Amino acid sequence: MHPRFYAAQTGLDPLLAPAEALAHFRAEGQAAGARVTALFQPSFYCAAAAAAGIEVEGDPFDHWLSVGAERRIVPTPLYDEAHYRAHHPELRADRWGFADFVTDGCYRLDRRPTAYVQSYGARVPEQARARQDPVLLTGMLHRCDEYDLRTTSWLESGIAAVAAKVDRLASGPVADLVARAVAIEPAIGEVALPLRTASWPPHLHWDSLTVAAAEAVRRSLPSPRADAVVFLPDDGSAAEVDLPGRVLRVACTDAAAATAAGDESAVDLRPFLERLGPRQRVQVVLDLVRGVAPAHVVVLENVLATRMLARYGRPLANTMTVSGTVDGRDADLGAFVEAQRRRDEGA
Amino acid sequence: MSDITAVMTGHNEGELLVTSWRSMLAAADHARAAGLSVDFLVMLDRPDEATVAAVEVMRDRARIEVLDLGDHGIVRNEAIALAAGEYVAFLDGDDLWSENWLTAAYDVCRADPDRVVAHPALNWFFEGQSNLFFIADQEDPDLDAGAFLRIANPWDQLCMASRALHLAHPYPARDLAVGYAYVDWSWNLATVEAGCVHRVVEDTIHFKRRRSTSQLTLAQAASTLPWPSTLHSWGEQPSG
Repeated sequence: MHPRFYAAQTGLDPLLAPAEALAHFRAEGQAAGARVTALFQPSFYCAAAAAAGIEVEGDPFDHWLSVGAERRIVPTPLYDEAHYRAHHPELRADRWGFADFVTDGCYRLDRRPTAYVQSYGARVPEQARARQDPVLLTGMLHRCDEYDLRTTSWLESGIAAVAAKVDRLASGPVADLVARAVAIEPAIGEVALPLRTASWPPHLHWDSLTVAAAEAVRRSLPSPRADAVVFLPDDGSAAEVDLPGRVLRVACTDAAAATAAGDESAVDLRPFLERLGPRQRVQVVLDLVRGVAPAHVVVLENVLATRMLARYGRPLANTMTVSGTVDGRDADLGAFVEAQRRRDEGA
Repeated sequence: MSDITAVMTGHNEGELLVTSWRSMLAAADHARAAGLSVDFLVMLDRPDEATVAAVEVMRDRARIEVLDLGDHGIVRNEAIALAAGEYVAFLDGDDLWSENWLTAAYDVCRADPDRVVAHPALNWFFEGQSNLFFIADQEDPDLDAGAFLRIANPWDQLCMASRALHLAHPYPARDLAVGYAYVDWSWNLATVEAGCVHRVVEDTIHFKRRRSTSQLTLAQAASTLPWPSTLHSWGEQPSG
C-alpha cells in the first residue's frame, strides 16, 4: 500500500497509515477506480496478462492478487524483471525480483527497476519504509494535477513514451539506419542490454524535478530582485548583517526558518528542497543566487550555501561579492572551498 | 556555394577519425541522392601525430585546416568563417551520424533558416556505455525550455543550422580561469535568448563515443558554469 499515492487520488491525509489506506480503498476507493499501490497500473496489467494468455475478469487489482502474482506477472511499467536482475545479480535465483523490489528495492536509491530515470535525484523520504513511501512516488506525483492518477502519472506516461521510442529502434527504417552505422562502426552494435539508462527531458530526465523546484522558488518570491542575499545560520542563531538596499534572507533548516518566521524579507527553502538529493539542492540554491542577481552574497554558517559556493563561487564572484562566516570565522571564497573540503574529508 | 558544409573537428582521435569520415561520406551520399550538394571541412586543433596521419585519406575530398587554439568553441567559429555551405553541420571526430542526418536536418532548417537549430532525435552513446538520450524539442509543450536551460543543457553541439545563424551567434570562448565553460550550453542559452528554436529531427541519430576526457567532463571537474544569460535572471522571467 502506498498511502501518499492513494491520498493524492482521494484527498485523504498523505500521512495515513498503510492499513487505514487499505481499509478506505476496500470501502470506497476501489469502486471509484483508485489505485492503492503505485506499483499497479490496471491497463498495463491487463495487457501483460493478455500477453501471458490470461483473461482478466472482474477487478484487475483483485485479479492480480489472486492470479497474476502467482504467475509472476509484473503489473507496472515502472519495473522490468530482466533489467532488475541484470543490475542486481546478488538476488537469489528463486526469488521473484519484483517481490524484492516491492518490499525493499523501491525504498532504496541503489536499486534500478528499469533503464528509465525514476528517482530524478530525489532522496529517500524520511521513514519511507514505515510510511510505505517509495522513492519513485516523487516522479509519479510530479504535475499530478495534469493526470488522472487512477490510470497513469507523469512517470508512467513518460516511461511509456520512451519505451515506445526504444521499441522503434528495433525495427523498420530506424533499425536500418542503426544497422548501416554498425556496418561502419561495429562498437555501436555492442550496446549492452539491458540498457543502463534511457532518458528524455523533461519527462525522464534527472534534472526535471530540480527545474520544477527552482521554478517554484522563483514564483514564491515577492520580488525577483535583491541587492543582497543572506543565507541564515542553520542553527537558528540571529543574523547580524547590515547591508544596504533590499536584502533577501534565506532559511534552509527548521531552526533557521523558526528564527525567520514573520520576516517578510525571508524565504523558507525547506518545502522546495524537501524531496531533493544533495546535488539537486545545490542546483536550486545556485539558481536562486543567479536568478536574484544580487551584488552581495553572505553565507552565515549555512552548510548548503557553503557547499554551493565551494563549487560555484568562482564564477559567481565575477558578478557579486561572496563573504560570510564558516566555523565561527570570517569567510571569503577560499574559506568556503576549504570548509567544504574539510567536510568532504570528514564524510 | 554548396547546400551543406559538413565539418569534422579533431584533436587526438587518431584512426577513429577515419571511422567518422566514413559516416560523413555516407550521410553526404544520402544528401546528394536527395539533390543536395555537400562539401567537407576538417578542423584539427592541436592534433597529435596519429590524428594528422589519419586525415590523409580525406585530403582529396576535404579542406583540412590545422589550428592552434585549444578551444572547441573557437574552432567552430573558425569553421563557420571558412564554410562554403549555406548550412553547416558539425561532427566530432570520434562520433557518427545516421546516414539520413544531413538530408533530414536540412529539410527542418530550411523551414526557418534564421531561427532553426536542428538536433538529432537521439544521442546513442556507445563504447563502455549503453545509454540512450532522446533529445527534447524546444517546442515540446512539456518542456519549459527557459527554466530547463537555467539548470541543465538539453542540447549538445552536434547540430545543423544555417551559416547565417551561426555567424549571428558565434560560440563563446571557454575561460576556465574565471569559471565559465560549457560552450554548448552557453551557446544554447544565447540562441534561445535571441529567439532561435532548437528543433528535433525525427528518426535521426548521433552515435556518440563516450570518452572520459570529453569537454563536458572537463567542465564538470573544473566547477564551472555556462556564461551568464538573461535567461538566468529572474528579473527577466514572467512572474507566473
